[in-house]
Amino acid sequence: MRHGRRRITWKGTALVVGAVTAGCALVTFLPQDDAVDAPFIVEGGVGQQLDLTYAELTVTEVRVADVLTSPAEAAAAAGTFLVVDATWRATQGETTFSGAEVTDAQGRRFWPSTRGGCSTSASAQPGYAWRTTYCFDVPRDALAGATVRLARGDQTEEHGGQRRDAVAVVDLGITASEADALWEAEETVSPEAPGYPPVSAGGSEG
Amino acid sequence: MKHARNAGPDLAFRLAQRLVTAVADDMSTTQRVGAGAVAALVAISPFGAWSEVEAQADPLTTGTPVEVGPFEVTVEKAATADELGHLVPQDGNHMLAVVADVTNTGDVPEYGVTLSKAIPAPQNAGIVPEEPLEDLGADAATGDAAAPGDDAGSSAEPSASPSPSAPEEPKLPSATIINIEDGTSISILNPGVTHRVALIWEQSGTWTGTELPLEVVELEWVEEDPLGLDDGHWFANEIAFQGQIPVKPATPEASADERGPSTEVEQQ
Repeated sequence: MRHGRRRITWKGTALVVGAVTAGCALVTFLPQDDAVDAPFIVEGGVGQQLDLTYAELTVTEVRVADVLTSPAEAAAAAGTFLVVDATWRATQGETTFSGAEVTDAQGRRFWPSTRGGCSTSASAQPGYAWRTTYCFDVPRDALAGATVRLARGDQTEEHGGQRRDAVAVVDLGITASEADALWEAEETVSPEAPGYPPVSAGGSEG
Repeated sequence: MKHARNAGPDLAFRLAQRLVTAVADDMSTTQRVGAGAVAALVAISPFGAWSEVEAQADPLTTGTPVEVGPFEVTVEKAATADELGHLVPQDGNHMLAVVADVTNTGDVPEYGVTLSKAIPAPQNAGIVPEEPLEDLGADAATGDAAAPGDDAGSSAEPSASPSPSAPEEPKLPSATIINIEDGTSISILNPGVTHRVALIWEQSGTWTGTELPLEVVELEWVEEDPLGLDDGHWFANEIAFQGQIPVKPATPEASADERGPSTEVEQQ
């Protein structure tokens, strides 16, 4: 039986240093974040019901407005307001849907405004359909090819609240030629207050 | 009799002296001068000896766009008004508005708060400072109110200081940002959209200047903040632009009730 200190050999030192280096390289260069944090994207179009496991979502209508009016105030767009009407139906429990963001064809991101009576989030009891309207002030070149991203997790901190969770990405269906016409049109929209949708839109089912 | 507690510093000093003497004894005069210079440079390092010389701010003039952080800002004018919509000053004061075109040139939305960090309240312009929190408690107890008509320098005196030390410099409030066209508040500035906004502060009625010393602060993006938990934010750095902006005074006949905040600022 050997007693006393173990000798530190070059071979042992090289093994330890090599193992540490390999570990650092794995952590640094493997796309670990993407694999762990990526949300589950559910894609669709306007009028299509999407299943997000925690809710069913339908973007019911897309409009453009220069001015939004509500009982409290009138809001004028600096660009134009992209008005997105959506209906949420929570399927598991009372849920707050905090995420709402438009992304244009260039990858720019736009957040909703509370001006003119619009909502930036929605909260719904399970089993009931709940209608809400989001309004995004966007420039002219953001209209064509724009998509809206809706989820229960919010989009701040690089979509930090949406990690490993279902997220809806809905193509708003605006072509380049339609974008020009939408930009030129002078429309005033009065967003409806959040609430149960009318019977014609499936509100009675809730 | 020498107390044992006092022996520590003396011992350390004597050891350092012996060390320096032992090293210096073997040096030539030139070496001693060189070593002394190196020691001096090391000694002044913690006191900012190697910090960059403060850059001179560029001029800020009306109508000329400047880039600051994610924004392109074009200051158009400054004006005062007796009141601007729901913004009503204390008796004797008025509201000061800086009108500017602001465009978010980035790819992601920015908060209005970030814009107010880039354009802080003008110094020495009679901006009514924030009331310290301790004063709120004192006021509630005594029924006192902050002197509304005082200048920034005098009204900032805390009425109840928690410590006997000298009172701190009064903190000036962030601007309230209003959309000129409709008078609504703006909290989000989306990319590619130019907003015509008014940055509004309450100003002392005793201020009689005709030009506003306006400063625009450089915003530096902090990806990872080693000193805090707030990664990914804009940090207000040094003053990047400064200039004297002519102020159009309030007109007595102006009435915000009739025309709203946007039109009142427009008419100045």
